Amino acid sequence: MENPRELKSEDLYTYCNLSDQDFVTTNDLEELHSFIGQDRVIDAVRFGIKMKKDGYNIFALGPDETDKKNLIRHYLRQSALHDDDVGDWCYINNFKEHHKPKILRLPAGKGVELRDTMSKLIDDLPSILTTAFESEEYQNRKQVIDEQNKDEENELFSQISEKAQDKGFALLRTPAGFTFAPLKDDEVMSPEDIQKISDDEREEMERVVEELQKDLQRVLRQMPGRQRGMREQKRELNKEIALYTIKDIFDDVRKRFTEIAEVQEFLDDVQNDIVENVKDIIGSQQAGGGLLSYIQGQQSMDTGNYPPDEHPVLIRYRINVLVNNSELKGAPVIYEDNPTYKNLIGRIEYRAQLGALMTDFNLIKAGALHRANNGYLIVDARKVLMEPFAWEGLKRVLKSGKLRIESPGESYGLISTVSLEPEPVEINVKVILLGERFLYYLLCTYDPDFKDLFKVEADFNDEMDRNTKNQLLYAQMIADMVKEYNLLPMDKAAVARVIEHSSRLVNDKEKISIQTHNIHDLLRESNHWAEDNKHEKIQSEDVQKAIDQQKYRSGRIKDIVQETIRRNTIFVDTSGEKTGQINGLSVLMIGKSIFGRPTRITARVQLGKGEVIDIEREVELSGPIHSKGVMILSGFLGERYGNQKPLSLKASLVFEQSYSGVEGDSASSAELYVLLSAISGVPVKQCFAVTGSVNQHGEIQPIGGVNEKIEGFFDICNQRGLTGEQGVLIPESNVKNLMLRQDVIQAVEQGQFHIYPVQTVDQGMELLTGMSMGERNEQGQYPGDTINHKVEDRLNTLVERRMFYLGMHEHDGRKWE
Amino acid sequence: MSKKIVIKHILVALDTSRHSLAALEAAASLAKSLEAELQGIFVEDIKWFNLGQISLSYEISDLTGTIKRLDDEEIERQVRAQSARLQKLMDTIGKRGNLKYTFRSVRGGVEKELLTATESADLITIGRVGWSHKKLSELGRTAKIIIEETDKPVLILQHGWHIGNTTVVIYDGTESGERALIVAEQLAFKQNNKLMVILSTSKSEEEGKLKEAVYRILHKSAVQVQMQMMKADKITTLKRIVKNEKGGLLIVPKHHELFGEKNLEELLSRIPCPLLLFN
Repeated sequence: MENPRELKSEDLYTYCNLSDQDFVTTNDLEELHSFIGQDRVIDAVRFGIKMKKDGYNIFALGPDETDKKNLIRHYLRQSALHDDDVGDWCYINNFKEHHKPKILRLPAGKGVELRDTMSKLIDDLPSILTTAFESEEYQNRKQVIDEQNKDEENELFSQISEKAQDKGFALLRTPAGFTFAPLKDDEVMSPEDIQKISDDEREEMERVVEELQKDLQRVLRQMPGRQRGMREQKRELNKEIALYTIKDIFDDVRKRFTEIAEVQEFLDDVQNDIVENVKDIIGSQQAGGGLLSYIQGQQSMDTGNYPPDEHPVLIRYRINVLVNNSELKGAPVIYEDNPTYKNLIGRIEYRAQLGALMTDFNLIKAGALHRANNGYLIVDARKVLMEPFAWEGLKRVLKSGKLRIESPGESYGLISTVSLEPEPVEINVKVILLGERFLYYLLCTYDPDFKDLFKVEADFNDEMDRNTKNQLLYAQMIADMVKEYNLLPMDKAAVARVIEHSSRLVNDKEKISIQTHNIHDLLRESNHWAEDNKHEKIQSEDVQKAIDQQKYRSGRIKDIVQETIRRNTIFVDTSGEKTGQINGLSVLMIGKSIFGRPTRITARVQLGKGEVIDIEREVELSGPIHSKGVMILSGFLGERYGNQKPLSLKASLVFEQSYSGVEGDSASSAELYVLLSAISGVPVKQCFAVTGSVNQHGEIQPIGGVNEKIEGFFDICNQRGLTGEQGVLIPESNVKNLMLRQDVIQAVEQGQFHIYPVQTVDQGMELLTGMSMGERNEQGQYPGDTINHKVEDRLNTLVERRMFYLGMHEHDGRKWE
Repeated sequence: MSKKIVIKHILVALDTSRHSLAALEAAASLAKSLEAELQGIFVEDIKWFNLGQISLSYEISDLTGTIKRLDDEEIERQVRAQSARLQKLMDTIGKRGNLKYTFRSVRGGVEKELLTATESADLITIGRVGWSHKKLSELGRTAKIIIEETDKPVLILQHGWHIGNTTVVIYDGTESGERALIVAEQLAFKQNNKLMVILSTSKSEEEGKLKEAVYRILHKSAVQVQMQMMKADKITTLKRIVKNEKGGLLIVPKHHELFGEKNLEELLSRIPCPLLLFN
């Protein structure tokens, strides 16, 4: 069998060649104004934006490392510029039902104008009215009403009093009313004088008193009606004065909002309300009446002085501008960073007054959905799902098209306090959820509303092809980022190094990562090191320093693992030969750190019934994929060596010194090699480490993390001293993934380290043992000094032994022949 | 600065009418400023009790017009109730303002008892009118008698009048005018008010003398003082000044030519602010 060719340095890394690109630094590159490698997403977003029907909201899915938010926001803003259907949203008092504030939609900028106009009107109102109501004219007219009524009252009482006096009685005041007392010499008679009166006189006096009392009763019973009449006269006077006083300022306000019927209607309501409540408004300017209220039985000594923002009448005329779009160009594009229920839906705040929680329409606060109305709202899916009630609230709005502010506590009957029922806002908003893919798939599976509400799937690519055109685009993207983050310009070599690193991030020399967060970080850190080195532009060495420092910062665990191997706490041989022992390669991912490490895998064989026991699985330290890989080995052995005779072995495989779980099938080729070594007794060279999964035909299949695995074994060998024999066997199909470190490449160039791409188990086994695998001859036999022969020979021996022990007799109802 | 006039006891004549309560409020405010004792007095009119002994007596309710027999027991009950309410009111006012105060009910003739009570007071406050049916421009009988009979300063109040931020005083060069000016300065100082001095003389050549006298009397005062002359059509002029200055308390010498009985009533009807008359 032909041995695989050893990889050369040019196979291990693909340099980025920008020599034919005409730029020196990123300053020379044109701005991209676009996002590369995301054509599918861009089309999906454009479709979502143009699709105005219900439910065509967008879910942008992709890894967190991709800057989904910026891309989405970029396209939304472009589209939003062409939308002019935006306005201001205000809540105003409902003068018929105060607890149901009305929503008012105004052209953009008019909300604040109306608010400020009304605010000024409110500030001026008490003093304007007070001036009018303190005017000479008003006071005179009011006094005339008072005097007229008082005079009429006095006249009535005088008539009674005079009549009484004519008949010898005086009208006197008592604590609770009036009485008639008989007079003698113009003085009230004493009880003694009364005693002296004859019965006839007494009878006559009683008759007169009775008559006077009836007269007085008639007068007293007129009093409530007279008082009512007087109050009505004053009310009419107040109305006349109030309307006259506020006419001018209202005319001014009306002129500014002539075109808006709703504002005119609101002003009508305000005007009527002012007339009705003029006394309370003026009262806010005046103190007094406290004692009288108190003596009349009211406990409160409140003088009626309120801060301007809390006056119970004046606050009704305020405008609560919920959303002010006066500065906005086009439709709103809102990103809600903290999508709690309240931040999305809005809330009603309360203020404490004498131990009670009070509210009014001025305390209604907007949510992100209000701000995004007639535009776009971007929300992080994970955050909205983690906030209590937020997801259900968002769906309810999208389904109904109405935004109704109510607190969850009230909805669930947990809180009972004086509250409002604001008029719902008609909502026309395109919601864009940002999330990882698994969230999208979970929602599709478990939330029956989800697919109806988020019909547009914008699935972000993680990588794109690496070719000359894309490399230039990538350079432009880097230039855009450099400008956006105000970094030092980056020279061509540094750009190339970033592109190479981007390939390494996706472990593929033919691809580039478009998970832009990582690139952002690398650029910013490179800029830091460039400044630290007092460079005027970011150079390749600055980028390399940033990469090295990232690895160094997160490399503590890797160093500890390598140290334990170096100090022989974990046994890994890098020289010599051993039967039934091989170096497998695994990848560890801890936080941001990803690194490879060699692991000793051993195999032992004994007489059995054709089982290959995975000790990791037996102790439940392996995952299902790893177990599957081990079971495939039985298939391979059975097909190659068990066609004529039963496999009568029991083989056990183990990852030595493994104290945690093992998952993945990338070690299955190593397990097959070591198994074949254990069966055949042919030793395996320990200077090699092996990775690759194997199928039942013995073909080596690709695995992940090939770069980290090679570098992991190289580091151990390098620390112990390279012998010139050491190397790694990788699947041939992984060669395209190689983007190795420079020190590894140099060692390969110098022949100190070797990397072999292997297609089959036979190729690998020959490299590992230096012995031919052998092929069956016409008689179906393997040649003598080959691995296959030794394996088959050993298996035959095991079969014979087994037959011996079974006494050539039937076993399990079958007969061996 | 001339010698201080000490006001340590402020008498307030109480019934439950609106004007009497306004008098109480003003008296409490003055008592707090001057650190004086507030003396509330309620006179249980002896006439009511005499009426109770007359078999002919009936009471017609002020509120409903219903008639019921008036006897001693009923009168006693009503008077006790009134007195208790006023006592409670005094307690509230006293505690709220952290004032030293007394309250007493006395039985007898109203004017006589009040005049007796004025003897131990330095200042008397009284409502313009009580419960009697009077024209808005008229003074009540009790107020009239107190003003006439007592030699103490009398503060007249009406419902809706308040001691404002400017104290206005009329100075006519007389002794009572000087006392009025001194008290006005003291009150303005204590209440952190502005003081407006109105120089009253029919002779324009005396204006300088009056000004000099004011400077002499107030030369050590820390109060912000303004002066104006009052010329023809005096009540109109006074009204304009009070209105322009947003005047609160108006202090005048009692025997100023401006305040004959009718003039006083006219003044009270045209200038709606508390009036302090000084002997």
